[in-house]
Amino acid sequence: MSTAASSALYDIEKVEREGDTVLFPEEIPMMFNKAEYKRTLPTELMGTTLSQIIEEIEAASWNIRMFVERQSINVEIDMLLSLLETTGVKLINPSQIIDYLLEFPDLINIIPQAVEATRNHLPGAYLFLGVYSDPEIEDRYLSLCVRLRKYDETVMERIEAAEAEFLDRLVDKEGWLQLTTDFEDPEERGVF
Amino acid sequence: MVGRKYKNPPIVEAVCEFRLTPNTPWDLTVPGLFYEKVKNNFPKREQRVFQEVELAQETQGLRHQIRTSERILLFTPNRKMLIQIGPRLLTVNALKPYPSWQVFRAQIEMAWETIQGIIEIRGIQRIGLRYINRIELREKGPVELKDYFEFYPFIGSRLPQNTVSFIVGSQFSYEADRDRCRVQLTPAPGSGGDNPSFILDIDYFLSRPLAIEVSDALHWVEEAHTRVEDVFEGCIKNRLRELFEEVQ
Repeated sequence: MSTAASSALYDIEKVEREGDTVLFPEEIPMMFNKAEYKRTLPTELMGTTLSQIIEEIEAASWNIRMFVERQSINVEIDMLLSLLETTGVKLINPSQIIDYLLEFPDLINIIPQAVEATRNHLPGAYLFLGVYSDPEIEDRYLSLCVRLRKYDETVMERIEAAEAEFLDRLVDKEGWLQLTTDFEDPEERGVF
Repeated sequence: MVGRKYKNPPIVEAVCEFRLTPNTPWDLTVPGLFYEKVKNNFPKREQRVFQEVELAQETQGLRHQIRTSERILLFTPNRKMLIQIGPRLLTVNALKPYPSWQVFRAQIEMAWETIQGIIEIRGIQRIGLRYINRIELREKGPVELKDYFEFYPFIGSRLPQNTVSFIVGSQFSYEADRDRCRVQLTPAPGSGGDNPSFILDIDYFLSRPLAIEVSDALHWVEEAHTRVEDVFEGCIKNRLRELFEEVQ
């Protein structure tokens, strides 16, 4: 048994021999699909922590499995919101977003895909995530609002193209994520 | 938390996790059989895909592979409590508002007894009892953590004092290191513009696989709960107790 492969940030709970497990806490953002994984894994983990772990494993010739512990929905949501913040998505009233995702946790995996699709189709867009409540009917949903410095006639087309990339994943979900724009300046207050 | 009673407890989620040993038989029918037995109380069924990373040393070098595993989530009608079932994994989650230890424990017992009625559990790899607390202060702007917490980062006077973020964590050993308790305090995501908010995450877990018998699992959970309560109270000061409104 060795505890050498540990770090303050990623805090491995145990490392054991052949066939046993290494348990990480949830800080490692693994909510993305395989294609996104290489891009989104924090560089400090790849560059330092994970490589240290790998060195340990190689030196000891262990065969181990690492599990990312994600039994807590709150932790998943916190990871997601942290990641969104660090990638420049402005969170409008985070406590409402948290409450919505606690109610509909199956949206957690879809949001990163929606953000990436939006960024691909609308480069340079300012993104705002919040919960929209329709005052006329009792309905509320997550809204990813796009704001641009300059709007042209292709904006709605590009929003629809981005939406098409994740829409099918919303089909059987109870919650909803709407991609939209209010055609305001990014600095303008009053999103949602 | 419990022990002391609070009118506004900061718990946003409590999780009890049972991870079973690899020699415990498991197949694809287990979640369905489990659902059949609990569907009166947990009627809403959802499926999610989770990812695992596997590192394996092979003759050609290190193999690094991401694998996915499916997990079934079973929710109560109000979606405030759920059970997750994956391969050799059973968790019971209670979301805010925390229903009380008595209610949560009853659901843990029910889930554990139900799974034992479906499969033969040959050993426990890990049990964890975790409480995640989101503490939102009334005060606006920068705050002195030491006024609220007994567990916070110490920043020496020669360091910059304008901390924008931090992470402080510790593991405590119990029962001759059979158990550990991981405690972590961080700013809550998205709390920058509002009142300062913090996540106090307390995770008490079995640190040695097979260190307890299957028949002792629920006793372990009860003991873990007492420890988590003690740690929670050890982390906070009276200003937070006032905020949570202690019930005498």
